[in-house]
Amino acid sequence: MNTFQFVLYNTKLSWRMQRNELPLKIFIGTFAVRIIFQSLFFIWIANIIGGQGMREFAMYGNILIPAAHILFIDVYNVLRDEIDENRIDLLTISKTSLLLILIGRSIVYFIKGFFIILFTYAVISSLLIPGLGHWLKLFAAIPLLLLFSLSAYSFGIFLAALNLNDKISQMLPNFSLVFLMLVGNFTVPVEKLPPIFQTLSEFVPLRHSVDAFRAFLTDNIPYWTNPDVYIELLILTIFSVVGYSIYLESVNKFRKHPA
Amino acid sequence: MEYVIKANKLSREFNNKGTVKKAVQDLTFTVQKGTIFGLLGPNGAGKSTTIKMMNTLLLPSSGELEVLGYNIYKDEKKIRTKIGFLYGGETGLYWQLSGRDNLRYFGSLFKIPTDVLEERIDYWLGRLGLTNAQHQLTMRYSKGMKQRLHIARTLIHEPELLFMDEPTLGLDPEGTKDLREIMLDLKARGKTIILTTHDMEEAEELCDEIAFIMDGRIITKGTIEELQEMYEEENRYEIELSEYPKLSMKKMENGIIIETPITVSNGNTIINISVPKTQVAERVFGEIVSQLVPFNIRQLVRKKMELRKIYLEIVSGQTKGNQTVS
Ligand SMILES: Nc1ncnc2c1ncn2[C@@H]1O[C@H](COP(=O)(O)OP(=O)(O)OP(=O)(O)O)[C@@H](O)[C@H]1O
Ligand SMILES: [Mg+2]
Repeated sequence: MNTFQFVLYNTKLSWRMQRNELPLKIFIGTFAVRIIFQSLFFIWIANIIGGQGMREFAMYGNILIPAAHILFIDVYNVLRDEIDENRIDLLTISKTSLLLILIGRSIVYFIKGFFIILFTYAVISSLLIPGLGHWLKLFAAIPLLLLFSLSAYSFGIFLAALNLNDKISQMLPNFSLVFLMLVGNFTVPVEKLPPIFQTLSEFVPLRHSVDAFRAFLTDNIPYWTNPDVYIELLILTIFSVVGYSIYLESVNKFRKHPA
Repeated sequence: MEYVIKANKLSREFNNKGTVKKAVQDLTFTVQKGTIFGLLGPNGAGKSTTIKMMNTLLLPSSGELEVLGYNIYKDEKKIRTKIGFLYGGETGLYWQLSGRDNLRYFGSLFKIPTDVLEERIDYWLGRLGLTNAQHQLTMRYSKGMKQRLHIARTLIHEPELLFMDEPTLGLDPEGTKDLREIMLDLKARGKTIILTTHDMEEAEELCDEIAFIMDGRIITKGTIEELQEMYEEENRYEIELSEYPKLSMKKMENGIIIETPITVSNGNTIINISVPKTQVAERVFGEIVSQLVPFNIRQLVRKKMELRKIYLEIVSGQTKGNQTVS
């Protein structure tokens, strides 16, 4: 088995892994219900906060949330099995191979995430904000959404690499999700948060994804001519690289010196 | 003689909020190729810590350790592809994958060619009774089925040296029997197994050599026969006769204890005699046997001390020792 076959083989297995997570019917059903309730909830919060354009503000960010949630939980589900401190087999392969497995897996999750986003967007644009634009526009945002997936995934693996303890890693995704809701710049504009949260939000990939995505959706100019989007894309790339590197480093280090 | 493990003064400490816990201290031992080596001892003795140093998951605090001829500080990568680690528990498998896909994944990590891998998967699924459940998701497996899958996972790359930390945990009697057969099979094929277990019968049946660990130190080690020799204070014999004997000997003489004869179901009689390890007693025992000859001796066996008893002896001896010190 050469490296190419190895990566292909593992990506295929990753595909099956994510396919097995939720049966399609339940998946679509729960998401339809969830998106509608979540949207209503965010609009309600936006109305309380008040101010011009709050409703739209909440809606744009909201499109990414179901996908972010799914990516997070998926990352956790896979890593739960991988952060087991007894996994010598993972230490037998080279870092490149491990990285390639991770990237293959992220792309698989991206495909899943993309369909969720597409679905959410279609629901929201047709039902809630008729003027949002045609959902086909989303295909133009594929590079952005891919980076969104990679960085969300890398944030997940980074969190997993931090502790490598089964109990904490079980709580961490849920805890992080609450935190992301707060500083992700979609329920509440970050400018309205206390300064400490504003600073923290700079280190959250989701916030940058949401910003880029909002710029993409709201601006009338095509997003590929918008410099703000490129800055956000760069930041997301850095997040992905840092997250993956820390994970690769920690696989060896943490296993050799557990707490 | 070829050794797969050479440990010299191996120690490992854990730092727990400022207090230093010596999990393992000054372990010196060797393990011969093609044998089953048992690490026995009470909970918290340091067995798992020792195993994790040998399989490169933990670095020792001090000491030297060679595994399969490689130095664990320098050549850990070379060691890792040649070993397997089986541990009890529910982690370490991909719950979202079927049993078969799990084995495919683990096999691919060792870069086994796909056709060879598929064949091996078929073999191990069959041997471990998982063929019917192979396409079921692992999260729906029972505890014992997960453990069976763990066994297959550990063996899929045909490791030369296997570490098994309480491998029969959660297995039903049939699964336990299967695993024991597999272990003896592997041994017959020249593989080496290092085993920890709390089941003394299992250790007695499987292990060629045993090291007892307590409080991070090796208390005693040797083959089962050597341990029996060391810890037996007397020889116990069981004599089967076809007639009920009349003995002129007293029930106790020179420390010899002759138990009341019992008639067993086939009409024969069995006498148990324990003989202290002294020359006088051995001679007297010879006389007893010659007195029994007229009653038709069908069988005379020396009963071995059970490992369970040796274990209890070691543990109680050790606690007694500790009490006098403190
Ligand atoms: N990661 C760790 N951090 C701190 N202390 C540890 C750690 N791992 C083991 N220890 C300590 O080292 C000692 C030996 O533990 P070990 O797990 O090796 O025992 P064991 O012989 O395998 O026991 P058991 O039969 O219960 O499995 C124990 O006192 C334990 O508390
Ligand atoms: Mg243990």
